[in-house]
Amino acid sequence: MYYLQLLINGLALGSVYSIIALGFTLIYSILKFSNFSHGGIMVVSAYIAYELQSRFNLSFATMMVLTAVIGAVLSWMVQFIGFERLRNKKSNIMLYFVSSATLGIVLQNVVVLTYSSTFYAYPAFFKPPFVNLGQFTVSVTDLMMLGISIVVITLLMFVLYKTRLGIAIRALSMDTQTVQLMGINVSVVIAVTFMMSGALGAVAGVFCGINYVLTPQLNQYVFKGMMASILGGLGNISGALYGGLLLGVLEVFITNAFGAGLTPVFTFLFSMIFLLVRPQGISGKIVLDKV
Amino acid sequence: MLKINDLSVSYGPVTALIDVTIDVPKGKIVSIIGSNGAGKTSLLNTISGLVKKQKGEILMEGSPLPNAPHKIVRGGVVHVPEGRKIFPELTVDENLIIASATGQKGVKEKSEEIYALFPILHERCSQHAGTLSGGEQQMLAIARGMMSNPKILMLDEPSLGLAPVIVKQVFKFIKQINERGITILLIEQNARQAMGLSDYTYVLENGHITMQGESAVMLENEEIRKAYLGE
Repeated sequence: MYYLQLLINGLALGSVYSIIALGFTLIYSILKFSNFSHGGIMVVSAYIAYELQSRFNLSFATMMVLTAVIGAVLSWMVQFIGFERLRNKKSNIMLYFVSSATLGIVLQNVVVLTYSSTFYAYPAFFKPPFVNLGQFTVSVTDLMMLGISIVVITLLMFVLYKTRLGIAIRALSMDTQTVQLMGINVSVVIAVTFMMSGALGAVAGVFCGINYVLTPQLNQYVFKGMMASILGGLGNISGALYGGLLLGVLEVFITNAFGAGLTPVFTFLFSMIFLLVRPQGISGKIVLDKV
Repeated sequence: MLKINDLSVSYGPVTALIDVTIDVPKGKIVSIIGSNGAGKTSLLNTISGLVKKQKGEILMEGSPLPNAPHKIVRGGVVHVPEGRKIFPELTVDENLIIASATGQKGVKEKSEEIYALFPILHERCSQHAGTLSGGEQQMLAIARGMMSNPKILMLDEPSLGLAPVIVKQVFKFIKQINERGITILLIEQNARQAMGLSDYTYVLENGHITMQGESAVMLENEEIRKAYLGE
């Protein structure tokens, strides 16, 4: 029973990792580089959410939606400043990486300059903070994270698998040049993908802020997302989802067994062993293309 | 319909096409034959906007083509690339949806119409395109091109890597598409098949057009028979 309780906590944490990983993976799958500016978008959005909340006292749902929209706009700006010119010049993929890391640092430091590096905390959104579900005691924050993640992920999957835009995004991850021959404006699809990724990053940023505290260091959670997407199979959408859940559950169980201090050591150890056994990740596959 | 005047293309110091002039009349099938590296694919990539031209003009129904590839496709100039380039992890259905000229609406009717032409694809409509056989993939590539409502369909090596009996089938489809009033520009290494199907043939060698004429006449040409038909 105790372990079931841990499992629920792990899934709630994992769902946040999944959302980070999905935002990260969306960009990786279409442009083939690790977008570290994603962490910057998470931090800035989380602070903007804090401002919205403390100034206007919005409902939780309104704040989440607003923050997601702001994250999307921010991410569009990042792609416009950081990547559009590189793409037009057909630059080396290494430059994308440098550009994304730089923008990540810039965004983080905009927050440091504005708020200094002290900790902030969101007001308590949910009273009471815990509910009893049968024999389990679950924090409302965990429940909300899990619930909203499910909604967000369902929405994302619907767009990716049921709309023409989603088909275009998936096709773009396979072959950029041929997508143009389908009459699709690749620049628009890339911009929209960045906006989707930014919205996911914003939601994840707020969750991280609620779950821990609001600090400019929140951007480091992008590495959790990256690790989750590697575990799931880099560039693979459903893989990012499973990878995030696995990482979350893993962390909770390891923390329970060995204490929080040693958690990173054991998660990395587990990840290394996992990748030795299954280098392509959970859902990654080696694609065989017919000549 | 499609007129190419004095077109030159180079990749850095390497020249791919020099002063190529080609005329594709409405409703006809025009083939361009030539060996590997003659510049055939470069020509199609330039028409469809994937490669920038250095010199010359490309006119569609009298007006120059737009710059961006997606606008060129919307103008009815549709390119079915070499090696089929279907999206292997999308289903057959999705491969058709993505190419739809009208966006999401009208996809159903349009794909019904195309499935009527290619019944084998209908059977496989929810299968990943990567699991199709080579011939089926080529048919999908052509079907996908048809989804974009082409006025002119440009096919790059549709016979590549296919068994002779499948090649015949694919060429029969090309003929059927042409009979629906769609102009065809066919690029082929398989010179005999290409000339057998087309009305007019150009020979491309080292970036130059070296010969041209009615396909029926070209098939009898001594030089062509030696160089391209192995006689």
